[in-house]
Amino acid sequence: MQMPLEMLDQEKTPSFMEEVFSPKSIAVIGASSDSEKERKAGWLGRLLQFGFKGRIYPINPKVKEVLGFKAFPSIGDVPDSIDYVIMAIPRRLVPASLNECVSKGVKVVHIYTAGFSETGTREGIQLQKELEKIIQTGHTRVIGPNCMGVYCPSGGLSFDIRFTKEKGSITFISQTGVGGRRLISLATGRGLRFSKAVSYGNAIDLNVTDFLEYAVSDPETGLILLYVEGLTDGRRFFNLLRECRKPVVLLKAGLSESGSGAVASHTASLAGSRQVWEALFKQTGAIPVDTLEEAVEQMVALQTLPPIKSRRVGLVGRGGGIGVVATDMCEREGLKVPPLEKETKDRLATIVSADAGSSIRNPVEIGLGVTGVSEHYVAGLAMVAADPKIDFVLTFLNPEDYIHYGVKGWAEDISKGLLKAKKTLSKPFAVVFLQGQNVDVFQAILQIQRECLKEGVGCFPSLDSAIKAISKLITYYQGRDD
Amino acid sequence: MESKELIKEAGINVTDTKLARSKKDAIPISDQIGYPVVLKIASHEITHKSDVGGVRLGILSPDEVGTAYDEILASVAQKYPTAAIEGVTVQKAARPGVEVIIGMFKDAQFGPVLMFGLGGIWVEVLKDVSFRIVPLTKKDTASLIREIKGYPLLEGRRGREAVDLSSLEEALLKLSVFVEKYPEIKELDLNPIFAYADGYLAVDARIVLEAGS
Repeated sequence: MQMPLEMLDQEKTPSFMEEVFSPKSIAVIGASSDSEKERKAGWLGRLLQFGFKGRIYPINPKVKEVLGFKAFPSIGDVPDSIDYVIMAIPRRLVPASLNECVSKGVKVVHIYTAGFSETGTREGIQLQKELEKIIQTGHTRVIGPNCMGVYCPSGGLSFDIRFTKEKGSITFISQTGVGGRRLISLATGRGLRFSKAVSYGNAIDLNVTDFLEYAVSDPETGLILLYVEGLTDGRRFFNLLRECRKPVVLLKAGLSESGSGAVASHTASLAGSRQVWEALFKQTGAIPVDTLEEAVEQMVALQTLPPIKSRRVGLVGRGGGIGVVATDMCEREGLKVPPLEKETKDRLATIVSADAGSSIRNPVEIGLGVTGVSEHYVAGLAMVAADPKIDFVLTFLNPEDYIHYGVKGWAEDISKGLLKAKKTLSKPFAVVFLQGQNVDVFQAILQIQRECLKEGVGCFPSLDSAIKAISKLITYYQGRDD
Repeated sequence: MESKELIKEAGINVTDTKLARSKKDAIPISDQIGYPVVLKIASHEITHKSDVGGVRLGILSPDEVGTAYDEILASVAQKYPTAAIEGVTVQKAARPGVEVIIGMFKDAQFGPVLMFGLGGIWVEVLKDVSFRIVPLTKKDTASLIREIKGYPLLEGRRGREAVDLSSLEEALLKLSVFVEKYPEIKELDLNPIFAYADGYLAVDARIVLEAGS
């Protein structure tokens, strides 16, 4: 009888997600006695610099105040209620401290401290079991241990002060802390903005499925990114993904594990976790990505392109060989590069000089030569976009050429042209800036990219990444019932 | 035997099978079922019946039943001497069709998962199978069948008739409901299933139950 009762109790416990992302009060257990150190590298410092607006309580028995806030010897000594605790103390002190939090009725505890089951040591595993027992005694919910916790610009929370305070619509749920930080940094650099991010580590309590459940119905979340290694709540996870009406990008790491021991049937001997995850992707529409970089490109595609439901692409860019390679890549990823209508070709012939051997088939080479950006570039993009056989346009530019040949004003010309195209083209379009291995090229590309992304023009660092991301975007929209 | 009874309960078309505990039993059972019949070794310990010489197809007369019975037992005694033998099963020889397999196993994270693919010998050689997590929707069953590489074989080629896909889709949906209803089923193989232009017939079934069920 004990089991069902416990399970019932567990179900009644609220998940306190409002307190996770927008707490009104935060206590930092393990705030440094040295205010200067805490300001520079401590959790209090992060809260202050990130502009957290709620009540703040440093917990430290050795000092009266930290950074101007009255300090308390223990969480039990704080006279007010506490929504959220950040715990950054040596691991042997964590159980007792967590016990106090539960007794006080703290709603959420983020245990930053590492050194538990992830170490694989007996001591670490034992300590984690202790924590698991402690949280059974109350309603306190735990994020972690061994994790970075929460980034939520609107709640004034961040585990890295370098993150932007601008908020967006992406919610990122991540088992990994360091990988998560890298992803946020990469994504931010590509113009993406987050509503919320959480790194949940060893997940002794709140896990990926709990956060996913919240994100699915959270009105501020428009796009969900998941980084998952292990999963304990698979069926609920699967059902939530199936119900979810928002795009979900899913990086499942650790797929290469081997099969599951002795089995008696053909079916079990043929099945591996990779096949089951593949089935999950097909059944739920979650978009699979293999790397953090691919996740970023997929989100750029989803945030800058409208729903595209069929696969015919018009390629526009200078360089026959690059165009042929791009065509092969498109075909490999399930995109079609059809010949253009005669009418489109006739129109293109009026602006493309055939004497330089430029092509007006698909791919189309429009005068983007060494002399600079053709005045006809945007007009050409529009002609291709208007072709009834084309669903969207992908254009590639090679800034290295312009720099190499000392073309003046090319960056401005390209930016202006692409922004104009964004406003005037009749079909979706995306841009690839072919990368070059020198500082001038990098700088120039970053500059143009920033301007374009700000205006919602989808920019990608390679044909490969663009084609993959767009192909998966189309698969996603084709799979939706609406 | 019990496996087939359970599978029948799920609403799946499966051949009638009777257990003969001796050669003396096998002959009247065969007479009753009607020739041609198929004899298979009956042992809970033997999964790959053909591998131990435990299957005889196309048996046409009582005499042949007797010979086949002896040969099966002799072969199994040689190749798997430790196996406990219950006897030999007798079933009506099914008319041949495209061999497919439907199976179920339990994933540690997601629970029951259904498999579909080319069956019989093909499943071992080509491993041309695909999976869906239970419960399956109509969309899932349709895409599951169509994504295997051998799908053109089901569509019919070179004068062969296309198989009845909707009956296979229906079987998958029924099994999805069935395995959710019976969590004590751990693994399941319907192999081979003969797919015909007008339906299908599962000629062998194997169900593995959870320990303690």
